[in-house]
Amino acid sequence: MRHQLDDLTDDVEELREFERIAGVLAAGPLSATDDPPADLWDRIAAAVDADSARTGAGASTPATVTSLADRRGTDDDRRRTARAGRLVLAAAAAVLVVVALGAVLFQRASGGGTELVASSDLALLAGGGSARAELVRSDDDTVLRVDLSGLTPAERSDFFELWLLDPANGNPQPLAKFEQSDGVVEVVLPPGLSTSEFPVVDISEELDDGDASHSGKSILRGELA
Amino acid sequence: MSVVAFAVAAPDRYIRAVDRAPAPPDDPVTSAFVSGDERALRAVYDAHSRLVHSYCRRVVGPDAAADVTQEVFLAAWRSRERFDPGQGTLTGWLMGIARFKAIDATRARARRPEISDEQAPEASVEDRDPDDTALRMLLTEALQQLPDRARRMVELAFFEDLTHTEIAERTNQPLGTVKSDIRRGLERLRRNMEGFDAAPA
Repeated sequence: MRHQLDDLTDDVEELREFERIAGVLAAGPLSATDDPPADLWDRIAAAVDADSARTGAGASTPATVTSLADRRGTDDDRRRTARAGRLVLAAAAAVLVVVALGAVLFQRASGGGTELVASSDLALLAGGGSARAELVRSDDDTVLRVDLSGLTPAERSDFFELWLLDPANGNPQPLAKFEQSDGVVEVVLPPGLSTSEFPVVDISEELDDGDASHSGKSILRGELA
Repeated sequence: MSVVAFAVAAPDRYIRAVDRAPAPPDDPVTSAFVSGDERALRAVYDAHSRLVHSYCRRVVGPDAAADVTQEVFLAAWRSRERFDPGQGTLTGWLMGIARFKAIDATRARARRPEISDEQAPEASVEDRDPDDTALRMLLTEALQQLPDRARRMVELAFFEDLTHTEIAERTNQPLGTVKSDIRRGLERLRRNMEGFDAAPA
């Protein structure tokens, strides 16, 4: 057997892996013969659903949606947050995406439980691209879903940012920062942020300059209706 | 539906999109699974639940097999962003998770005192080594996915222990074809082993 494997590769590491495979195969085949109980998928789907609901409620998970009050913290608070570490943030972002997907995708797939509350095809103000925003409400939360296509900044910028605006005086409320020009951004709206007070969806180009406020350079904007 | 966004709640939590090795283009289910599409989870379950459940049944017994199988798919779903298609197959990865879950279940049962004879599932547990059993079942499954000719040659080489020359005579194929088929077959099996080794504990 060793001689035959030597014949197949000159790579020592690959040879070792092939030998490991040969060792497993030498014990003979072992076939899968037992289907799971018919209701097992329903149990798994229910557990996944419960995961999504629990994360959406945010009761005891680290990735809760930050409330508006928290988000209006001091600069020190913000700097501390910024230092919190990429891994933690990535985990938080991942869970938040799960929240959005759990709320939107699952219920979309199962054909119920969500309601399209309002939408807007955003108008181009500067740069390039297009986007459609949809506000989707489920039993648990409200999700702003923005479908991007070819988003292009007018000037040099580091990232894009999604905001909700008050049509009377602006007062931009930051929702999410992102880099990609195409695809879907989904954000679970924080409790207390009302789209009746802030109905205007705005996408700006931003510089990574430590200034958390709106750059004043909007690419796309539209009012949810 | 392809979701590529990372959405963040707080204004200073700026996160660059995470680069991830692209899934093989011929496996849209895997990439949909990794990106969080629950319909892909169902497809993954349909494709692998028989294998995972059969394995769990062998290692933890018929009574606990369904519960452990459920744990495997939930753990895979919750860890899906850690699955890297560039580092092995999803089948291998699932079986790697199943191995850990089966070991956990076996240990938990061993710690549980006072199990009466009627309740104890040990009598129907066929295999005791979770690693060996998982790998044997994984490679048996992976063999079925090989093209017919390559599968036959790998079986002749490793199950029947024939030399390459004997296989060439038996299958009426040139020796070079035998070697390249077996080599490609082993490479595919290796991708499954790599997925197995990469599974999160």
